[in-house]
Amino acid sequence: MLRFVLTGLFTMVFCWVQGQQRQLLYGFSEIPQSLLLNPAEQLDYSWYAGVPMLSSVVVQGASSGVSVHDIFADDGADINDKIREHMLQGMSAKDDFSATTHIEILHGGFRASHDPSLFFSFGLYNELDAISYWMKDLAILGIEGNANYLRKAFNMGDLNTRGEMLNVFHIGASKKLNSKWSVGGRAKLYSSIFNFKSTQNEGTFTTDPGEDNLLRSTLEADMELQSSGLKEIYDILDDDSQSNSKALAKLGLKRGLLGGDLGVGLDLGFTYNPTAQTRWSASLVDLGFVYHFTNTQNYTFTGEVVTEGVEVILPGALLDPDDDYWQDLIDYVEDNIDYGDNSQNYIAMRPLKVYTSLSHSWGEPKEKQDCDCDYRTMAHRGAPQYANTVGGLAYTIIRPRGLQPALAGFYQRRFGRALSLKASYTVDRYTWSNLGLGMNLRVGPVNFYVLADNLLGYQNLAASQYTSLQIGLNVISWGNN
Amino acid sequence: MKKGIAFCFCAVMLLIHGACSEKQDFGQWDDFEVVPTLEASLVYVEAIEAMFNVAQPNVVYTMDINFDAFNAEFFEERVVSGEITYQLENTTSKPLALEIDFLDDNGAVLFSEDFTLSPGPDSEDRTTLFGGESPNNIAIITSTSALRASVTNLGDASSTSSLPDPKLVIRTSGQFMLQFKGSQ
Repeated sequence: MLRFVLTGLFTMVFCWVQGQQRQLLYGFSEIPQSLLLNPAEQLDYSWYAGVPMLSSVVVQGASSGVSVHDIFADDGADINDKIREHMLQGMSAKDDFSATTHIEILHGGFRASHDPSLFFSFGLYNELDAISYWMKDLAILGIEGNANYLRKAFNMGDLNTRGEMLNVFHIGASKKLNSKWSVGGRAKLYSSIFNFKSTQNEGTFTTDPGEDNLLRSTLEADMELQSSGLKEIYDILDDDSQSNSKALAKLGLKRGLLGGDLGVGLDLGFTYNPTAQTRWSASLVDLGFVYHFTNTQNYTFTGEVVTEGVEVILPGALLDPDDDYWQDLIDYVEDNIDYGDNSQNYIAMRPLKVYTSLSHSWGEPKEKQDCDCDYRTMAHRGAPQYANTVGGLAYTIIRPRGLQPALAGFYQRRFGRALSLKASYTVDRYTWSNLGLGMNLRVGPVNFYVLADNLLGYQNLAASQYTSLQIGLNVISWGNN
Repeated sequence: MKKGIAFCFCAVMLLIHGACSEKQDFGQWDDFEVVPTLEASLVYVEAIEAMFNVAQPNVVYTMDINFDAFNAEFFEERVVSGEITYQLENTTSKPLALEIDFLDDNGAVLFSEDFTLSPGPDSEDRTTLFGGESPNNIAIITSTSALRASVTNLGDASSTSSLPDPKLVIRTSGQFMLQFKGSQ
């Protein structure tokens, strides 16, 4: 068990980030948290309240090029050979590592008493999201060096990473316009705990045959790393005079509760039911930005130098025997390369997610099925929920190197109100064998759900390049507010 | 129905709980080595033939060149082995003797390279290893803070080469393994 936990944790850390792909939850209207993916989702209960800290826990990790097993398998092979084979040679600069965690702190919703077609929801969640593209050229330079790479232009732009932790305060409303249309929106206030991004880097480092001397080294760089909140964290970790965990918790609480950088965002969505059995929906999630103006620390590295080493031309050099040619070279490099830091404010866009789904349902509508739970039939309920639903979903997220799309097909089976199962098959850049399974269980007013992606990967978690697990616990009422 | 619910619940829990992983050995990380081999030009020296004709034969021209790259902390603490490549080219009309000395902070000679070049055109390529299995200790490199080039004209002081732009050219480059992680 310890091995499993260790491997899972290492997978998450090693795999950094995959991007918030929650195709099982999207459209799963039995689960209140589906409102966070489409604010127009039509829920059929009067109110719900998430169990604090337990209503939604999402952990995702992915790597598009390598798995933990590739590197750490206990197979007797030399780890240096494995890293060269699987990472230096096997991965490209387009491969990425990503990780996301999403933990709801508070979440609730209720139907408006004066207008049952209107449903409000609100809450607060914490999100950690990070992605780093594989710094292939920089890794080769760092691990193997430039000696065997004459004329190769090592691309400084391979450094491409961003990440953040923030709290999101949100309030949303969904409105059923008529039997076909519903719309929804959610306003968000972001409170950033920390952020870093380095996504617009350019430049090369090249070693060529020299014109005068044996080799010519050329460095062109235009690089920047922006950060906020990290310096305070480093300062705490460096300070041995206090408890790091307490100080970090205090800092996280302060910055996460509107005491740090702030931003605003919006979710928008709609559902359209051209017929009672057909449904089309789409949503935009996290259309927003955070303005980083506290504890910012940015680093720049810009300039261009070309050198063939120390150059001494005689007899001219004999005229000034005290001339320090080495220092001249250092001065030349320092004059032409600017390594600096500043504390300028900056804006970081949130990673926008776009979902759209088309589905078809059939089978006896839920209202007519036998049900062993106690609920009240309400006229304002959304479209009838049939026993079976099949459909497809397209998803994309805006990442530093462009769109990162995914396609999914799903089948959902409802067993009365008490149980609903959903299976999905997803294709994305991480895996072509992503089978997912979700279950929503209602026992009285208690709603429990678990959604697990890439089930085949669970056969050997360490070999999986994508892992996702979502669980949650809510209290739901179909009665009066 | 309740049995069905319980069954499904247990099935999902078992699925998650039953997730497994082949045995991994994270201790391998200790064996991971980051020892890049970096190379760059070091020093380029050029001396025209007219310089040798100004003075009498057998006069030694000596020049010390400050070179702190080798004892920079970043380099000194990490270098484990390396090599220096020389490419000498003589297009003067004179035979030349060249000595390159590696000097420490006090000016003491740590290591020397001697070359003899025939009247041009003549050239010599040489690569000298340091550290590793070489007899030349890498400490020679890390203790070096200056290079001294001494050239002796072994010929006359009046002839002029018929080759275009006659001169002595010394080209050097270094290739060094730097250990950032792991053992060698």
